[in-house]
Amino acid sequence: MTAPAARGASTGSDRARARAGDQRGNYAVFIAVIASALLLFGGIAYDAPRLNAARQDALHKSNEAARVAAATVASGGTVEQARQAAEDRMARSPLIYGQDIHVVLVDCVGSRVQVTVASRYGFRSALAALRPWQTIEAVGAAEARLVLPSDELSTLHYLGECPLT
Amino acid sequence: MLSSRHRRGEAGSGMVIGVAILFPVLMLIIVALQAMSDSARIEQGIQSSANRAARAASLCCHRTGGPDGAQAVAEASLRAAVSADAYNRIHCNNDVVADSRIVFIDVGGGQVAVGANNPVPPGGTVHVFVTCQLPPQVLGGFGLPGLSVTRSTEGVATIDPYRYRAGA
Repeated sequence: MTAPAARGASTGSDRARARAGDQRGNYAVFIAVIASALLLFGGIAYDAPRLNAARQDALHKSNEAARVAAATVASGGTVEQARQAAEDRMARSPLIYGQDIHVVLVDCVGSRVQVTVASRYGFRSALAALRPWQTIEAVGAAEARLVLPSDELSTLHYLGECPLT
Repeated sequence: MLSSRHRRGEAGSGMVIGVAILFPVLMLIIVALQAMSDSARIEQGIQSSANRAARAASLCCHRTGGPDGAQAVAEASLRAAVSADAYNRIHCNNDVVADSRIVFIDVGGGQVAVGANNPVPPGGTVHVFVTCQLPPQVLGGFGLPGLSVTRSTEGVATIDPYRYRAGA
C-alpha cells in the first residue's frame, strides 16, 4: 500500500516539475506582446504626422474661407451668402489627403469675419480599430478694410451685415 | 544532473536564436515606420510651402506676370522654402521652382494666362502645383527599395475681388 502511494506522489511531483520547466508557448506570448506594441506605436508613427498635416491644411483653408466670406460681406452680401460662398470655395479644394471640408460657422463683428471649418481624418493604421476617425476643426479670420475710390482707407470700421459688438 | 543542465542549455540557445531572427525583422519594421512617418512630415512641409506661395501670389500683385507679378512672387516664395536657412525647409533633388506650375483661375472657371499685362482675376483663385523629388536618404535614414520619392501637392488661395484696380 505504501509503495504505490509513494510512487503516485513522486509521479505528480515530476509532472509539476516538468510543467514548470516547459517553455513551449513562450515565443507566442513574446510575439503577441511585440506585435501589439508595434501595431500601436506604428499606428501612431504613421497617422500622427498625417493628422498634423491635415490640421495645418485645415487652418489654411479656414483662413481662405474667412477671406472669401469677408469679401462677400464687404461687397454687400449677407452673412448667409458669405457662408454659401465660403462653402462653395471649400468644396472646390479638399484637404491634403482628399478629405472633404465644410463651413460650420460664420460670424462677423465690426469688420472682422471669423469662419469655423470642420473635416474628418480617417485613421488608416491599426488605430482605426480603436477610433475610426478624428474630427478636425479650424478657425480662420479675415478683416475687410474698405477702400474709397480715391485709394484712401474708409473710416467706416464695420461691414453692413455685421453688428458692432 | 547532466541531462537537466543540457536541457537548460538548449532552451537558452533557442531564445538567442529567436531573438537573433526577430531583431532584424523588428529593425526593418521600425525603419519602415520611420520612413512612413517622415514621408507624412515632408508632405506637410511641401503642402504648407505650396499654400504659402499661393497666398503670397493672391495678396501681392495686380498683374499675373512680369518682374513684379504674382507668378514671380509665388516662385520667390517657393525659392525661400528650399533655401538653407528656411524654417521647416523642404529638401528636394529637383529644381522646385522650375518644376512647379502656377495657374490663375477666374470666377467663371476659365484659366487666365500669365502675362505682364494680364490682371489677376478678381475673386478667382491661384493654384500652385509643387513637385518635389525627395532625396531617398531623408526617408527613414536611407533609401528603401521601391519607395516612390516623388511628392506632388497643390496649394490654393483666393484672390480678393477688389485686388485689381485699372489705375494701379
